[in-house]
Amino acid sequence: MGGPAFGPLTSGPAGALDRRVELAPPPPVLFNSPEFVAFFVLVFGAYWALARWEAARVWLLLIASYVFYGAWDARFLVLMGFSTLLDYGLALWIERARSPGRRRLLMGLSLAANLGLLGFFKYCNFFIEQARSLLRAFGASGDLSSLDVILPVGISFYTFQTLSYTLDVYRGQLRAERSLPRFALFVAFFPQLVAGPIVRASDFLPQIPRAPRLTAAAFESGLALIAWGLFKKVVIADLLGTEVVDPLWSRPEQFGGLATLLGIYAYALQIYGDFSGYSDCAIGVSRLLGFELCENFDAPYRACSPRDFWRRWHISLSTWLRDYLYISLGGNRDGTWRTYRNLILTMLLGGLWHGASWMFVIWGAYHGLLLVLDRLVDFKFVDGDRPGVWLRRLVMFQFTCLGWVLFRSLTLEDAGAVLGSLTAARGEFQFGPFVLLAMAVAFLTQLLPTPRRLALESWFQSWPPLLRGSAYALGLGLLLTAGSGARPFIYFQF
Amino acid sequence: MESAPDATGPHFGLGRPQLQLLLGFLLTIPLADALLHHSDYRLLVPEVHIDNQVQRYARAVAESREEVLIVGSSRVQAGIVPGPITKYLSQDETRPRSARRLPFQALTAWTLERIVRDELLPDPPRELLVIGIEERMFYRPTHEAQDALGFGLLNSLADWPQVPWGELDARQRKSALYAPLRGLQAPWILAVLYGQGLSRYRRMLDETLGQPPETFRDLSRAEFQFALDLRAEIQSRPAADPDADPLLPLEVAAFERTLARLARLGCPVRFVILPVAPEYEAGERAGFRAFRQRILPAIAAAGFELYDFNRHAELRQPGVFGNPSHLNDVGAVALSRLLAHAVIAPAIGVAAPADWRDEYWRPVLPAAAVEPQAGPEGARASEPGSGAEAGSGDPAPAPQSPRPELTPEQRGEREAAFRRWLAEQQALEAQAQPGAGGEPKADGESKPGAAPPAGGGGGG
Repeated sequence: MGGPAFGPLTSGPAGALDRRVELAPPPPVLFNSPEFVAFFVLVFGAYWALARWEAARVWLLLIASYVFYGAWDARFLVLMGFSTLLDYGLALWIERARSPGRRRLLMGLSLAANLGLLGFFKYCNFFIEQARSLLRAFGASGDLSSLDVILPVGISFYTFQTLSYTLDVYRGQLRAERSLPRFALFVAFFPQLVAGPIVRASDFLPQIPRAPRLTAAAFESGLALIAWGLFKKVVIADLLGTEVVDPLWSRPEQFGGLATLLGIYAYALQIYGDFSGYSDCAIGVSRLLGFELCENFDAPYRACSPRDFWRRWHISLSTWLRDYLYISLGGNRDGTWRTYRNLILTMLLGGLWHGASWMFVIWGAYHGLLLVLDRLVDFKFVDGDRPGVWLRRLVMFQFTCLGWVLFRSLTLEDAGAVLGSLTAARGEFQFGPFVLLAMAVAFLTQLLPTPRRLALESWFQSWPPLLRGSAYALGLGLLLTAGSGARPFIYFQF
Repeated sequence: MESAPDATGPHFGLGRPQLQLLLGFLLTIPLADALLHHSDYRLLVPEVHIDNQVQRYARAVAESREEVLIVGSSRVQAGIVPGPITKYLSQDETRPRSARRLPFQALTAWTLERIVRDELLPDPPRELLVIGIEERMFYRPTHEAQDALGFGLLNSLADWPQVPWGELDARQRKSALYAPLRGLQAPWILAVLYGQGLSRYRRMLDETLGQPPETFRDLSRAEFQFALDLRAEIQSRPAADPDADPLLPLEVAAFERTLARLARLGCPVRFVILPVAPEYEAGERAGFRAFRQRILPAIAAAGFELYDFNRHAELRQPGVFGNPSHLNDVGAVALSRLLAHAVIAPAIGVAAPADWRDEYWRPVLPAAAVEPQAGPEGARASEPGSGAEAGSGDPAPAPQSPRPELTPEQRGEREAAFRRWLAEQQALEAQAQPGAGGEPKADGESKPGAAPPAGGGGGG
């Protein structure tokens, strides 16, 4: 599929990469690489051959996960191993601790260690740069040496997983896991290790000891999910990224008003296709191994309010932020103003979770304000196909897209340039027919009501198996054709 | 954690339907491969080849033959604009003349031979053929050598027997392994080609009439074999020496055959060297030196005139280059104007228009001489930029009447003379081979008796 090699990776031509991704470390093995296909076929065969023995299958998946992660950079296996051992041990101590003070101390230790590691690897350079700017502003030399810390792929995802585990144990909502291999597998499970969904221990750990089941229906739905996820990533997201989004953000002056608007929509569809595509693949691959992961997206651009959007977008992160941050801050228990403060603070930190950049913070604050506005106006959740609902969806989509402009831009000036070209009368840029087709398909997948989507799926499943196999093969041809310049998944950098 | 089998046991519920699904998947691969193999479309050649096909096609479907055709590489595409040339040549409204360019991406001498043989000999331009010649037609820089092996031209399982698997590196092996999957890509590439692809080329050429491209099969097969031969040549070279002569004998031989063919062409031919930035030439010094020592004498010996625009100071300034080896728009307009004035107009007998310092003419610096490399007959069609108007940056005006063209008999004599010269060169080369007379390997000016005919110089 033209993807990168299985090992230290350099994926695709640099010019084809997302501007943000260029700044990120090299990605790990991509689902759309032949190396991953070979790797997974081996793991799949061995896993089901050993399925009768829990220890064997757990160790197999654990080793496979470490091989998968180590193929990117084996040094960071130590970091993941340390994080695993730390939270495994601390959770057991928290459970055994009698006094609340001791429990609090241990929990604080877990928080400090996890957030400390995350902060060091993800935000160290950022804070040094900010300190340097501050020193310069006060007339000092600002001569602070940079550490050039490499961001370990997936650290944000597995850190949030281990944190949620210790917090659940601390709150008494979950029993600490006794088996280290099981817990290590929960942290390192390769399908969702590097870009989510962020799995809760309460969902995943109970599945490990259970005898795995793979029905024909589960196999085929898993396969279809993988194919669909790859389609969204390779055909829609990569095409829109290369053909429209990158040119728009690098040369906005070439875009007229309408083209800019469509370009911003294209980015909304790109980031959705990219991230939800990865989530679909992760869920599909897990299903083939007998595991069920939570849904991460639910047609987010059908949202008709900010609250509705966050019920549909990156669900595993938004529920994590709600359960462990917003509620910990007091939620809506301490009055209106504190609720607003908590909302904004939660979204602000949620924005910062995406990366060390003021633009992510601004994007988070923007969504926090939207949620406050939502509370002020008190939009009722509505669904259905009434004209009023569609109007609200349309308006909400525009607000979402405005947020994506902030999210995609490296600086406020970049965002201003893109938004400024919305008012340009004419530009040189022209949309090709395949770009428009990809956008239409992407919109359709969002707007298609669930019953119709399910009907389409069951219609496909009713084809004779030989024909379906043939369709998958032709789908592979499409992926090969579209994926000649493979781009890493955007969310690898987070 | 238990190590005994689970009490309930795992459930692996895959059966015949899933096997059939797998079978459908696997069978589609060879089926699509066979369908593609037997179709007229071998679409999955690298884009550069598709580009070139469309260029050829655009000319083939043009309604009328052009008066002046300019063939060359991407340097011609970037550096020559037909508009000013056509305008210059069409001052006599009773006899308008059109100039068309026919650029080929990554043009090699081997490809030029095919173009001359298949396209131009049967259907030459009405009045003049201009060929943009360059050093890169005869060798590959090291970093491109790996890509020149032609594995992208593989299209099916049937191509596998041609592949020397044991000699491939990992990247090449991976590329070759994908060959059977290309049948699966064919329906999608067809859509791209007919949708986005051709429309892009149509915009670029605006002569294309939107008809489907011709078959790629024969082209890709032949090029693949050539790529294998070329690869053997590259691999047989000693370790990289930046000063070693990099010209590939296969390309040089192809060019010599082309010269012999051009001698039979039904219209005059002029060779031009398009300008490159000085730093580019410095970086490719071995290539340029060998090109000037070996190729330019061959052109002169075959009786063709050659103009080296690198000698024109105006065209070597940084401001006229888009990149070190390609002109930008400013440079393209200046070069086109000069080409029309100094090369084309004298060859076809068009006088300089009174208003030729029109909006296209933007001299940047006073022009240095553009010296023609005259052929053995010693004919000099013009002495452009001889200094008469150096202060204004304008070359001297073109003469009023064309140089009389050769008769078929004269052409035959010229071809025979060239062949004799070629035979002499080959004999000298054979003598110079180690073990064949004990002489060190000789080429270019080091060969005794290889001095070009009068005026040919070494292009240096």
